[in-house]
Amino acid sequence: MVWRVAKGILITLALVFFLLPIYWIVATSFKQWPDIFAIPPKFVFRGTLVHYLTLFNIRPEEAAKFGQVGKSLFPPRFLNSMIIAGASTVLSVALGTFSAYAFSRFRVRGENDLLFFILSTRMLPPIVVGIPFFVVYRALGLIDTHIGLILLYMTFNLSFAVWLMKGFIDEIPREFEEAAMVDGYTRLEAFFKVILPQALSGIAATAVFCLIAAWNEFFFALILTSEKARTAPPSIAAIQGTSGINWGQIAAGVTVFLLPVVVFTFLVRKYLARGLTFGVIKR
Amino acid sequence: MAEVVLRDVEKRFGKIQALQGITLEVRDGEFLVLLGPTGAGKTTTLRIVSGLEEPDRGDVFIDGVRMNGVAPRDRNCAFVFQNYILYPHLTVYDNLAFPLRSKLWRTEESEIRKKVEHVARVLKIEHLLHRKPDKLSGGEQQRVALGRAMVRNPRIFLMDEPLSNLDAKLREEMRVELKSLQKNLGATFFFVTHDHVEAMTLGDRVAVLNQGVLQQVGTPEEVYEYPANVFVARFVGNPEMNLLEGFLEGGKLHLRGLALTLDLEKVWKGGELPSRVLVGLRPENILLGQGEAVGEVYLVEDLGADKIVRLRVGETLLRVRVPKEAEFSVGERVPYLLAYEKFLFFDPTTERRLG
Amino acid sequence: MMERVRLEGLSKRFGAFEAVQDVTLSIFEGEFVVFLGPSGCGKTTTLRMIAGLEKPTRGDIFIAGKRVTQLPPARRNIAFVFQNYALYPHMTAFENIAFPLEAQGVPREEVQRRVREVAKILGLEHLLALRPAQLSSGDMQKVALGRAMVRRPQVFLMDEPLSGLDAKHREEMRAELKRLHIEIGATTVYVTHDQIEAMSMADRIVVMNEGKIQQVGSPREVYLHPENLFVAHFIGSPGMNFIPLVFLGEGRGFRLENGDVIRHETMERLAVRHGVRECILGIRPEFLSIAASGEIRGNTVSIEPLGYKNLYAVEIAPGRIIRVEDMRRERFSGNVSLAVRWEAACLFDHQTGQRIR
Repeated sequence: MVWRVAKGILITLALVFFLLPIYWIVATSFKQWPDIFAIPPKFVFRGTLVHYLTLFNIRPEEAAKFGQVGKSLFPPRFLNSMIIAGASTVLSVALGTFSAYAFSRFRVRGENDLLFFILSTRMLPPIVVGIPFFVVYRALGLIDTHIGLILLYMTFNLSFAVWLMKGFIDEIPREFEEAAMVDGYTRLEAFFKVILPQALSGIAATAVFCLIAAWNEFFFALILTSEKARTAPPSIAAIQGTSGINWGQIAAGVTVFLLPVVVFTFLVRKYLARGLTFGVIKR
Repeated sequence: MAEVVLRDVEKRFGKIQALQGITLEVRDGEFLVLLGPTGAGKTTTLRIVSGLEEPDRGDVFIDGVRMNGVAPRDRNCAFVFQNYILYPHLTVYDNLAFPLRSKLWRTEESEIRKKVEHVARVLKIEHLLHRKPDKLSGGEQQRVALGRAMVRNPRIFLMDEPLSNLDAKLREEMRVELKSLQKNLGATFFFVTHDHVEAMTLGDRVAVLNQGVLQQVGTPEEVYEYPANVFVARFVGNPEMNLLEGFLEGGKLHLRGLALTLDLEKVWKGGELPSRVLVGLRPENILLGQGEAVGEVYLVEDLGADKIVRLRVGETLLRVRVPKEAEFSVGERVPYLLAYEKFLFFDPTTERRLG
Repeated sequence: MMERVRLEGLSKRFGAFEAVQDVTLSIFEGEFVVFLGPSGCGKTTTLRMIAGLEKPTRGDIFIAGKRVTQLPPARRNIAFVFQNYALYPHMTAFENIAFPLEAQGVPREEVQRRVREVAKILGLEHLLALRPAQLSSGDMQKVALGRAMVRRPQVFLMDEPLSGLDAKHREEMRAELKRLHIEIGATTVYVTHDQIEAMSMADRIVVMNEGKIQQVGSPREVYLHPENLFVAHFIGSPGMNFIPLVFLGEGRGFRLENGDVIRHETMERLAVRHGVRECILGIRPEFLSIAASGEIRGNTVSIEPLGYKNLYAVEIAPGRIIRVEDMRRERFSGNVSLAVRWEAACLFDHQTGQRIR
């Protein structure tokens, strides 16, 4: 009995610890300007939508009150984030899945070495390759292009995708496509009709990981883009006005930025639950 | 229906020689059982016939046509896997319909419906058509796997230990059903198992395989009564055949393990025998309760319809089948009698049967 | 005999599913008790509750007189042998067997002594330095057994330990396990779906179905005197034949499905006393024989040659096929008549499935 109460308290404390920052940001995005800076911090307040309205340029005239100069660039940047993260996720998951299938089913020469090589790309601290990438991209004319970032994110996420999907596909006995092949299907048909449906949970899990990685990426988005292809993370960080940092708008930007990933994860939660427990001891 | 011929088929996986020169014929309309322990190469043989593996050497013929290099989908064989391999995202109906929906068969939906329903009726799974595989019992899954094989009327059914994952009781029941199914379809069944009782009860003929080498091919009775070598003699038959070392001297057979000496002409009517032999005697050919020699009861297994006694004679442990009414207690000393006319003789070096 | 394990009203529910319902049983010291039943009957769940791997929804478990229902497995002094051995792949056989002792802090010399003792009994001495990957499945099973034995627990719990083995190995291990039990005499609770295993090794068999105990008795008892149709069908290989009969009244006999009438005084008296009309005659294949004077007529459908005996499938009415065992070498075919050994026959009530006594 005591244990149950103690468990409840511990869980509540953990929840508070993890959810407090999120609550704070979301709350801040609805707070009036003075409330944002209030000490002691205010948990109950009168809400306002002004930060969202200025963020999306719906009521640009209010922006001046917070020292903002010119239009908010958030909407186009947010769109860029969606395009770039979405496209790179689709690409890395697709390529990763095909690649993982090949590693799983076929006897690839030097398989272990290749797989390790693929994984090693993930071991690189991004900063180390920041400058080389900048130089190469400039030479290729990829600076500030959507394609540039999409390719980059795809490359970095590919290692993740291949390794994750290989684990999932390994779990599907190869007899599944063999059964289909004996029954009259080609291997490719069998892949789409039989393997893919069973790999959906793995694809969902992989997609979520890749999406989050691409969505939140800051460093390369910052140095490889300036205007056209700039994504949300660098742009949110740069929301400044003449009178200092516009916390309200930043909070609104962050809240809006949080939403798509949360929604996506929620939509695929059924597949995620199964996908996250892969690698459990086989019978 | 069709016949399958494997000629001198060899297959190696890395360092392991899975099959060494297999020559085997499955006759049209026959129920042939390929029997052997785990790792003997039985599944590999089946996969080579289906086209999922290609032999390193040797030929595969189906109905007289050479199949080497022909894709599985073009061989018109059906494969029933050990763990059924039912597609979990499809209903039973769609699982059964799956083969017919491939581009190879291009069957119309109305035709598909007729065939699926017919097969479901034969296998008594009509009430399960809309369920998904995870909601089926083991026995039901097995039937769906069978149904998916039957639905396109293949020339040959290749079955890889389809009953091994079933409960003991269910296995027994399915054996009877499987046998009558084969008869009714008039199909050629190439069936693989490690269970010798299954092999004896299902097979028209039994092919015994060990470590990639075919040991013997014959009817269940032939394989039981006249095993070609020591391996077959021990593998087929439950409990295992008793094997005793014997040596010949001066017209007499000495069974040292039993401290028994017999006149050779009483037990062997054939030609020359080497000086050392292995003598095999099946447990049902030893009688307890009579005779001059005596042994001590080591273990009694009462299996209901059968009773097995392990009798210790000196250093040897004899396996004896006794009538179920007979009573024995552990430690009891009982006389025993060997049925000499049932002795089987094997060469200890080649392990082949003599005579 | 002292009671070593007692189960009282043990029940387990998973959501809406009643996996185990009201199991009450006493297991005595040195007994080899087998829980037997089809997949999903609750036998493994019951075993796991005794081990402490599952918490019962209701009921109590006592081991050596102590109430262990709430205790974790480590405090119950039991040993569990898993179906898939669960050996530690990175340790040698020796280290695997020694593991439980080392976990308890037993001194090094004693660990050595006890491991070697157990290895000797199981015939593993020459394998102690090998890793599980280098062992055959039979040897792995022995190492798993050794790991259980070395702790000298109050009770051995075994969950279908032989089901992962080849048919041949299973037969050998069965005899070895039985012999081991005779030598060591440890209290053992063993779970299996294979009734041959149960018949061979058990002192008593607990037959379960759908979470409930159907019958508890020695192998002999459940074989010859099954309490209901389920037990009668499940025990025995090949299974018992069930022949539907209609009782025509005192002195008038029973009517078979094909219209024939058969008579047997003792059976008829049973039917009268119980007041039953529709009943089922249960008779095992070995208690039927093909004889010219037989009471039941039929047509042979197939023969299964088992080497030392033949098993016939005989159709005695449209769709009603029964099995008959015959030890003779000659083969029968076509129409035959079957003689019944009535003293070995059971009569069951068609409605309730219970045996009529």
